[in-house]
Amino acid sequence: MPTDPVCGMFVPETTDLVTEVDGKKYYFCSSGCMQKFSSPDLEAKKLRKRLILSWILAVPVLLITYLVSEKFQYRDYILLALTLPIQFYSGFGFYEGAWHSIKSKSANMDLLVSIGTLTAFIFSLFITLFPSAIPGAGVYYDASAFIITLILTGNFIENIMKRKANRAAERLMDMMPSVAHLVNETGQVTDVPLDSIKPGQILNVRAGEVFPADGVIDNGSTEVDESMITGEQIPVFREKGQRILSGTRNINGSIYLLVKRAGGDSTVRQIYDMIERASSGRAKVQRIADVFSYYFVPVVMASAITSSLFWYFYLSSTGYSDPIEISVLAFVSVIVIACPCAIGLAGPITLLISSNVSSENGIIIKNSSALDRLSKVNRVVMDKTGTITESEPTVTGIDITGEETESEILTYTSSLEMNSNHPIARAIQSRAKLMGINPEKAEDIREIPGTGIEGTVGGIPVKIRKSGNDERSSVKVVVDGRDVAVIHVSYKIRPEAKRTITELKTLGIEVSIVSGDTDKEVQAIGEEIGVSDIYSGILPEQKAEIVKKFQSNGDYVMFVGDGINDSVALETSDVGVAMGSGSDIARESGDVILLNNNLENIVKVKLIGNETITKVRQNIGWAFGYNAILIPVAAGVLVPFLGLSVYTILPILSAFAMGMSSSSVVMNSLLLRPRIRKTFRNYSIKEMAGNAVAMEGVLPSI
Amino acid sequence: MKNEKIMLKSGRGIIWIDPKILDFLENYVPWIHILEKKGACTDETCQVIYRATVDRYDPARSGECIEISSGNMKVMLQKDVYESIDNSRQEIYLTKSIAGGLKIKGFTYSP
Repeated sequence: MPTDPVCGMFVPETTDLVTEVDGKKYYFCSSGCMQKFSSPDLEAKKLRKRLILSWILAVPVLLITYLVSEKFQYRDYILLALTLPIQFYSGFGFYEGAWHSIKSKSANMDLLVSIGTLTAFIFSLFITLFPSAIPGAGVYYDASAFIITLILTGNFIENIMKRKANRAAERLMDMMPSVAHLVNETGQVTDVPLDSIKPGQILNVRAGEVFPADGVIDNGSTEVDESMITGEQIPVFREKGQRILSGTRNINGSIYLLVKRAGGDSTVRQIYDMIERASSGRAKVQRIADVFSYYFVPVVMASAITSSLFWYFYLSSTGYSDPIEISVLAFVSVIVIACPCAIGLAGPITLLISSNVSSENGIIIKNSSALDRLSKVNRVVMDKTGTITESEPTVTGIDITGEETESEILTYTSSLEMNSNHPIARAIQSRAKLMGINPEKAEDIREIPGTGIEGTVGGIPVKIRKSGNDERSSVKVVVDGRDVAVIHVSYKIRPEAKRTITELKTLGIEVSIVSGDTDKEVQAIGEEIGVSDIYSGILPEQKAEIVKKFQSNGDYVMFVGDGINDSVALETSDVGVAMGSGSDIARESGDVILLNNNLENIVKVKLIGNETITKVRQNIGWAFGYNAILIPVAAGVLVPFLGLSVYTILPILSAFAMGMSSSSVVMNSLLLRPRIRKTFRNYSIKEMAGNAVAMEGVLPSI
Repeated sequence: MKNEKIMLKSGRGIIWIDPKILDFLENYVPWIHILEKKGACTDETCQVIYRATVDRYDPARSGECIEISSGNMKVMLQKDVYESIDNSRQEIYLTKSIAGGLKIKGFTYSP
């Protein structure tokens, strides 16, 4: 069943409240949620208007309350007149929310605020109209006005903070162009809106422009700045046939791009959607927030009523002149000070910020609920090819046994191999290209699976055969019936692999390698990078079994592999990290997707998990403590120390505390951003120094 | 034996059955599913409250479920409940509620 994108409630597809954006349907539980989704700017404008009016009138209310004598006979009426617009225009949103909560039999914060402010207002109105009913009682229009004003101010500040929290995601969308240069069949270029682009179309992207869609280069070559998407600061060279991601920037060439994915299916949009969804993730500690929220309103109401009754009966018994006044103020203070939003925001806002910071480093948190499990990971299982090693092999040496030169050998072999998609073929082609060799036309080509390829190049028969000395990564070259060379090919270990393994071990994490390759090859790599627990000759479906085996021993396992080919192992593991392809991140399995091939990001992912969960716990502790301490304060525990006069300002202070409570949680969560960056910086400085010793005192404790 | 909790494996997690409810379960297949409720916080970033609740299993209305059983003991789990228990390796308790029905303790929604 779909969920409302605003509030997260499950919504049946039969609802009338549906809207479509970028070809995707969104379902809503209420018209309020639909409006918030469709016109977020409108909501922000409404809030601003209400807030401005509120302050313009609330300040005079406060000044008149304290500076104008009660003896002035029209004082209370002036206060009433100034308060009415605040109460019923600025405060209208609370009453609307309270009404919905009553209708749905689900009490919420709006109900509490409405009760609080209306209690103060109605009491004051009663005193204004019937001053002799409670002799000596004052009016508290300042309290009712400032409750609304301060809470709206808190909401406003919180919205600004939340926009900062989602900065990375917003920046992604802001940098996208509004138009694309569409090339038609005659070569004419016209500007079209971005959302009209379709797969199969050709776009012209000029130097300095952002690629508006995913595709492959149809014509031209250029350097591309991929930092906004992958986090890689160094531009990469791209030429015809190579993949381009939307949201990357064309640095210095004019390119014709064949569109593969656009609009809602494009990489940049998928990343944006994933970041936005991050706040719906769940950490286990949020159960406390759920329990708190579930019982919150009844407990607060009970506390407010109890406090109110206590003061009334206690003061009556001591002969105090206006016990009803204090009783009302105590009720209003307790009702208003209680803040469910601080605890409700603690988890989601932290996950949102964490997801934003991660995306700046090319780390896409696809499932933010996994961050909880990430903090518990004590074993990493890595696939070999494409993870520990480069995903493409390279030619490591050519042993010439005939009369031909290396250049001639590469001409023969690359001419044949350009007709094959085998990894060894690609390695030979790359080497030839590096040496500036242009392949010639080959004929009578025959590729024999498991054996090699053969054909004629320039009329001369050429064969490339798997080498007989059991080295999968060597091939024999036979030209015109003569053995002329052996070409050695292997997957290079990523330069950062050994450091990454060392850092994982420093964090107390065991590392294992799984691979379909021979034991000899995998052992060699394991020795080089410091991993002794290896599993060789493993079929893809067996990788998941290895993960399960570790899990049955109580380990929390992170599996690092290819997002498409290792999907089962990625899904089986506690945290699945998909490396480097990013070709279709929506389709890839895994909880985390790494858009660049930097192995160090595995350590960063673990650090992000640790920091995020620590911050969630901190926020929940803060929010819980906030309420636990301030509700008794509002109920009157400070009265023995400060006297009953504290109640003249306590309702306003309660509103201030309430308004700031959510903002304080958001602000505290924003501190996660520099903290994660500092942790990354410390990690990078250490590895730049080439020090593989444990980073004591530098890494945060787990 | 009758006083010992009964263990049902649910993926990587466990459901413990309170022995005091065994009589209750004789003609009753519990269906554990999620009820959602909007919380007290009205901010759109705040999440909905998800609570696991227990009702009698009814194939007509229970939708897609996963059966967990051991011997004669059978419990039906909504898919999200199963995934939450499995993903976070939770240990939850099926026990008697104050009202006389059944309730779940220790569950956290994390699909």
